[in-house]
Amino acid sequence: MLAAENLTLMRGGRAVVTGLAAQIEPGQITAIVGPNGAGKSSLLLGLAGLLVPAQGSVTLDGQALASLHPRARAQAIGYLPQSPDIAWDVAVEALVALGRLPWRDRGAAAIEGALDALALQELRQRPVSQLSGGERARVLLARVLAGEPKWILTDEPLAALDLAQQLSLVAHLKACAAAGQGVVVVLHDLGIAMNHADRLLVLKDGHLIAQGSPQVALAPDVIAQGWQVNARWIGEAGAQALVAGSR
Amino acid sequence: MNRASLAFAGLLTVLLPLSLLAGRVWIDPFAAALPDNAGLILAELRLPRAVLAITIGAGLGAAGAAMQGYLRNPLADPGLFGIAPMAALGAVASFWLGTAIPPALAAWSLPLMALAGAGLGMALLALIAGRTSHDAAGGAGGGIALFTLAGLMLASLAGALTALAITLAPNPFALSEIVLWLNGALTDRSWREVAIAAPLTLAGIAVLALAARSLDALTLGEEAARSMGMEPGRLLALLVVGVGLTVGAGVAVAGIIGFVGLVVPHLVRPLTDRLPSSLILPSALAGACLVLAADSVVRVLPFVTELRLGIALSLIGAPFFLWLLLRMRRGRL
Repeated sequence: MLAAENLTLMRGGRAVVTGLAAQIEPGQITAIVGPNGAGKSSLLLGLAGLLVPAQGSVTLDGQALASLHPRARAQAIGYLPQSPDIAWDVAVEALVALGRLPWRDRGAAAIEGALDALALQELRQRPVSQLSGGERARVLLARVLAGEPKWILTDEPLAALDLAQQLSLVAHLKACAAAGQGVVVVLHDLGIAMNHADRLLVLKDGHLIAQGSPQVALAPDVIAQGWQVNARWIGEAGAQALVAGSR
Repeated sequence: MNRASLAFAGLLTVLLPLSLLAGRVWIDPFAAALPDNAGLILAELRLPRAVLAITIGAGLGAAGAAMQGYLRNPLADPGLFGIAPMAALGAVASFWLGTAIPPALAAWSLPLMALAGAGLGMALLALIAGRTSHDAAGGAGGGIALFTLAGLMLASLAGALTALAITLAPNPFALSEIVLWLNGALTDRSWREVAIAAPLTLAGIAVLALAARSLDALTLGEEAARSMGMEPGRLLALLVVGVGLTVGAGVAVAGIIGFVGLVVPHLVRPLTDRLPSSLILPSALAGACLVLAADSVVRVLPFVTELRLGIALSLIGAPFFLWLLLRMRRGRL
């Protein structure tokens, strides 16, 4: 279990997450949502152990992340930043193989597994500069999977993808969760969060204003509080759409 | 050892004997009678000079590959980005200290100050790069432009301070000597210079090789790299020491030789998977080939005085830099 206790995170001398407490279970998709500037990406960095808490702690199965050796932490938690720029025009295969860096082994089986899981076998020799947006997103996720982490933390992986690509990537994340990995994902699209996440953390101004199942955490009153928008959900469970009214 | 290393190691074994034979006095290995002083020329002039060219080229090639990986910038170069000028500033400062240094240390003061200058330059560059990488989050192009400008600023600042130190030099007779040395050359170098530069350069390349995996992790940016276990403090320390040793040792014995670190990784990259870890050793070998070949060519060019090696490489390197810029503008880098 990944747990935050009284977590306060600072960036640039400013508190971006304040006094947050949450417990995140493996085997499901936990989505972090909130308006722009709510501290979603910072919270994800904190949960990944990449932003040291100013107060409180993040623990992984009871052990403080800050006390783990960087390699041990890297073996347990895979982190995928929001649309990273790839410095060198490497082939898909070489990029995915970077996922083995925390283990310092070749990990051929894990790399093949990741290429298979994201249907990248045909693209394995292709330079990353020649990939479409959807292919690139799959390759970046495959890099994380190749490290066989217990936890996958990803920041807005669906940004810049079209609808079909979004659903395909969500399906891959669901498969990871079904296989027992913990998946924590920062999402912008509340519809995707409502229909596909198992649990939600709703942030506003660095504070957790709601958490729980999508129905509870994205109830109209929470949306009104978080986004200052009057909105309601329509449609049946699993295929709901948000209809926004007035501010 | 990868394909690129084998290729450049093979090239080096061809270039080395050719370089030994070429010069004002050509030595024909198939001639019935060798010139009288052939043995002396080979053992005391050409061999140390060739070994020094290999040493300096290897150091600059490895340093360029490591710097390009660390700064995630294909335009990074120890000379252009101020590391070699900082080493030169250190070396010139050691002339200044002159009599203040105890005689026992005097022989080592120039190389040591050059190493310190190079290390300091790398640390300053990393500091600037670290700051800009936060400010430029999201704007990848802006990041590269900022690093490049920061490096050029560091180079021109170190150059200006060096010029100032020379202008105010207490001993005017040393002036012309310093200016000539700054231009970079391997003329009249002996085994003494090899003894200073070779061990330091080898140590530096070994230190840079230790950084290889962390440099690979940086391919996806600093946060992704840290998530894969890269430790920024350790990596910076390896870069400061490794670049300080390789570039500082080269500058200490041969002055500033620019553009090798810029050009070489680009020659090597297409032969590899393009990750920084695959570039360091082949770039060292390719750098050795480039400097050895260039030094052999300047030696046989029919000029009244020998063309300075540093100037010759700049004449090749500057148009190459321009070509890289044009390619980057078309998004092909």
